[in-house]
Amino acid sequence: MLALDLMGEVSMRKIIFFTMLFCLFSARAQEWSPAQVFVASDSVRPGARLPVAVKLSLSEGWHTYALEPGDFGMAPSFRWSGVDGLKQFDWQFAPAKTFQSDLGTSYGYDGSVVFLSEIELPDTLQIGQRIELTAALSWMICSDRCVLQRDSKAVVLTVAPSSSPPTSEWDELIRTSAWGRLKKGPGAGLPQKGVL
Amino acid sequence: MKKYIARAVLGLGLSLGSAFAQRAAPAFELPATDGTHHALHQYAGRIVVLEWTNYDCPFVRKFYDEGAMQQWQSHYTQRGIIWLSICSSAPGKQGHFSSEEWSRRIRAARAHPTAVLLDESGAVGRAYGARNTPQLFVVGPAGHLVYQGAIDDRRSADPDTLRGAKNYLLEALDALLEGLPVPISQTKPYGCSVKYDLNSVQ
Repeated sequence: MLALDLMGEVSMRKIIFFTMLFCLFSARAQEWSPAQVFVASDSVRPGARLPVAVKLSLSEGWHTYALEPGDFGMAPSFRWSGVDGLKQFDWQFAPAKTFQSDLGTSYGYDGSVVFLSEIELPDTLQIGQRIELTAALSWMICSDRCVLQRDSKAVVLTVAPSSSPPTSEWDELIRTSAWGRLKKGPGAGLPQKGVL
Repeated sequence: MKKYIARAVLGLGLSLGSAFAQRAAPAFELPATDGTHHALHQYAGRIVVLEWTNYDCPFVRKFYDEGAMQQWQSHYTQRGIIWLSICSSAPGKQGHFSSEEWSRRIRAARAHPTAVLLDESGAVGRAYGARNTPQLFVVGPAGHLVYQGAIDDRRSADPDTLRGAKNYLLEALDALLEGLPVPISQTKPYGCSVKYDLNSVQ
């Protein structure tokens, strides 16, 4: 009986321990807004301009910031590297939402948001060469508190005589984002644009 | 014509800046993490830095994780400046800690302010119009606010941005120590919102 009680106590302790562990990881998971990086084509010719995108997915109650974030927060920073001579163009920001509080106003995005840009590859690349490009990502998410998010994502491209058409994944990304809705609407506003 | 408009705008800006510089620093008395009490009037005639803080705000951490804030606190308090860190986080909000936890955090951060003051009700923060963490107010020897705003011109929580930043706070303190006017009296602060007792987003 005593042994059974002891076993029960140990099991209960384990349950409490794992429940606490689960709660801890769940809490941390809520503070993380996963980032995905997309490139329009898998194969690119030397010197080509390649559309690229970053998608942030925010948990409910959290938001991130626009290029002009207003009274709080900061604009995201996405920087590409990987080959010498790589050129990055302005990031485009979809029209932002307004977040109002007693203390001030901020501008940004909740739910999921896609940022668009282009990179230009050097024309010195060799046909058949495989290159790995890395995007260093830094963005702020806030709810009733703020958490700085940092990540790094790599993509591998094959250098070819001509660039391949946009992938179905790319088309789907654009179609389902604010950019797809902007293109559909007549007279839709231009995206906010700037250098990060 | 454009030249006159530009002058008028500049004049207006300077007037506003001067008006701001003339504003008397609101009086306050607050408890510190070590149980002592600190009132602004007890530092009459001194240069006082009021640093609104929240140790868990990423923008505040940018300055503490790299040791920059601690270095400035140490440097300027050794030169007679009073440095009061003030936390206006309400109970249950980010950055609000018990006195014991504050003591542990201050030791861990190796911070060197004159004191860390607790403004749980947010009354002092609101009297100063503190909106962000970090947000800095500098009180001159005559008791007037001579600087308020951001620490620097790099609106980011990335510690890499510390290098090469224009530091408004240090410029103000160095000028005051030399008896010179503060070159820039007001800038737009950046950072987290102060975690007052209200239901709002940032």
